[in-house]
Amino acid sequence: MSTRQQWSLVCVLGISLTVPAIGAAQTVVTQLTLSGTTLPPGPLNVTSASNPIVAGGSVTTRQRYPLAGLGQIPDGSIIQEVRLVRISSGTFSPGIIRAGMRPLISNGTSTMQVVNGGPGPIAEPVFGDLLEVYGVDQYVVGGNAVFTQNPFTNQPWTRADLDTLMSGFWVRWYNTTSDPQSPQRFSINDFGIEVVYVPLTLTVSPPKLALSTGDTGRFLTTTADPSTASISPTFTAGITTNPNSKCLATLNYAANSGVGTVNSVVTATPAGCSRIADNVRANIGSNQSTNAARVVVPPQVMIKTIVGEAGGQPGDLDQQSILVVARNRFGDSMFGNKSTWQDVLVPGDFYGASDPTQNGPDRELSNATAVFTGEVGDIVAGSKCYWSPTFDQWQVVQQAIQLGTTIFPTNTGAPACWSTNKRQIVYKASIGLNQRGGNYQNAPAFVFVRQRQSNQPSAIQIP
Amino acid sequence: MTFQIRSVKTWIALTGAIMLLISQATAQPMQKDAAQRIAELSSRLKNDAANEEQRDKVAGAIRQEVRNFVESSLSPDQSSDVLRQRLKAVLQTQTPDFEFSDPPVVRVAELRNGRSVVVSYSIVRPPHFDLPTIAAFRESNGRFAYAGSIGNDFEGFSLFTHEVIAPTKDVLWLLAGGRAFTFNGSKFQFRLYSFNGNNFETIWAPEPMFDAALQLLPDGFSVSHDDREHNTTVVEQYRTTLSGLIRVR
Repeated sequence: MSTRQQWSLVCVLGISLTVPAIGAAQTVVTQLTLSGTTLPPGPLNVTSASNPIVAGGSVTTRQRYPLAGLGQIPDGSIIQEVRLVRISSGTFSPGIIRAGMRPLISNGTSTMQVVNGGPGPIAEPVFGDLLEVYGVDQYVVGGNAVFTQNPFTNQPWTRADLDTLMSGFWVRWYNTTSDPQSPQRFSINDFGIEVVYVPLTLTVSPPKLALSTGDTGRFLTTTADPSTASISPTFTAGITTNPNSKCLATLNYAANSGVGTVNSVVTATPAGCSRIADNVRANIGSNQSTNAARVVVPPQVMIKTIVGEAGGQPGDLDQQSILVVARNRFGDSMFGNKSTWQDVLVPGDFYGASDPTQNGPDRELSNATAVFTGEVGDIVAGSKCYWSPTFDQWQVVQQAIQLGTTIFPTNTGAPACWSTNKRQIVYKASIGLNQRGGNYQNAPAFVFVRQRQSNQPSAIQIP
Repeated sequence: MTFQIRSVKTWIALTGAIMLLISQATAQPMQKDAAQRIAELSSRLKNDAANEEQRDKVAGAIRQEVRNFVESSLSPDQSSDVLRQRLKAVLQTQTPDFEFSDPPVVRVAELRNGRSVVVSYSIVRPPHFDLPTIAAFRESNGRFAYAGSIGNDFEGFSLFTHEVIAPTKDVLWLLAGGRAFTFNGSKFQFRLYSFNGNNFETIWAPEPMFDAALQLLPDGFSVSHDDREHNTTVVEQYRTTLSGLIRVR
């Protein structure tokens, strides 16, 4: 037997994860952990019992342990480097042996060896390798190897690569005595595999997307950072509400892919139904957008009503106010005790409800959405009826406002709501002039009616 | 002989007058009772305004009271003026807002199938649920008997009625119009009915009209209304002819 007997060891290391600090578009360095729990935590202790020590440089066992990389690198991240690093301490006992050691990297099929910081064919470590352990607590820091791409495919690293990647290393030592020492014990601490990546940050816009069940061209935009990332976002939603509506719409997010920015068309079915979806986020795998959008589909009859009734009016308040009038009728037994937009907005009460519009013109859609979500409150002082006075009728109303009379004026054109009760004309000064012209020129587009007490004036003005 | 004849005539006249007085004397309490019951029902309508089922129930009861009164208390022998006064007295509590509906109207006519009375009125149901009624009765065995009504054609609308010159004198043409109560704006429904003493027939039933104004003409009527789709005012003119109602404009 040689006095300088060689022993070789292939051993495998389990490494704990250091949670990286992730910032938008900043490079992150993280250590990967081994998958499974085949190795105990803390310093790796290799003994003949659990990992054979092979004499004479003849390696008969190469155990390699995959890394659970996929779950440790956020979806969509751009992996820049994989590093085998940081052997910071090691022991070998008994301590009269000199040793050489080389890290190994494997894709499960092939294995490469890191030789002085670079990949090379597998071979026994030689004395004088950069990474050496000399004896008890005698070692040099080393083992560094940086792979900027997958050395087996010569392609940029992917997250999937990290799940096929296996790591280990090969140690050889010399027994300075004539007899091999068996079993031997080799221990190192803090072997690390680092991955350098740029995490993918997703944002979704606009913050509020309104659409009609007839719309086919409205979309959510997902923006990736870094902008070079290829993304195919999917979407998830949080809380869904559907106030005062008879049927719930289903949202469909069309699949789309792109680099940096992707528009995903959102549609809603069935026609006429509605939905408010909150906390809608774009997802790349488990990577969610850092912000959320709200998707609102108002009942189509709300859009129809204001297209038909106030489509030509330039002011948003003009359109919103007539929908608020409708909302004020909810639950009122004097107006049929109805509770849904579909039941209240009927052509028998609202001329515009018979409008044939099937999609969502921008302004009408926006105003219907604002009322549907409750963003617009009661801006008509509780009024439940309205009409469009002619200029002559408007003059009568103006006179009643000025006089403050409790006698309800005649020839105002006011609707017959509360015709046998006390009622009050409500002029909202912020309502625009009627755009119809003709007899309606210089009269407000809408004037409102509500119930009153007998001692209250028959006509008032509100801002 | 002449004296005798005169005496007989006088006797008959006296007897008739006495009978009329007796019938009026007995009719007055019945009329008062009917008016009282209708008044009580009307007050219930105010209290139960929010209850749709109750509203309909009470309105039905008022209609039945009116029908009972006409059938049991009115005599076809009475003059048109007396009939009008008595029915109006019974319906005195049914006086809707004049801007939206007519007060009760009674029309008496000699029609093809006999002397008839047509009553049109709105049952006042606060705050805006007035229920228009047009019902007709025809002479039968010395009484009036219910002949028919327009049903609930005008439910949700107020009621104005106008008599339009009919193609023949043995039918009554009644033009009814009303404004929708809870419509935001001014929407009218019009119907032209013909009543021959037996039943109502609808002669004209246009689509509801917006901001409509009706004008009665010697030979028919015209109605102007807003065409909102084309933002213009449309004037329609109709003439009654032996062939029926013809649109001339």
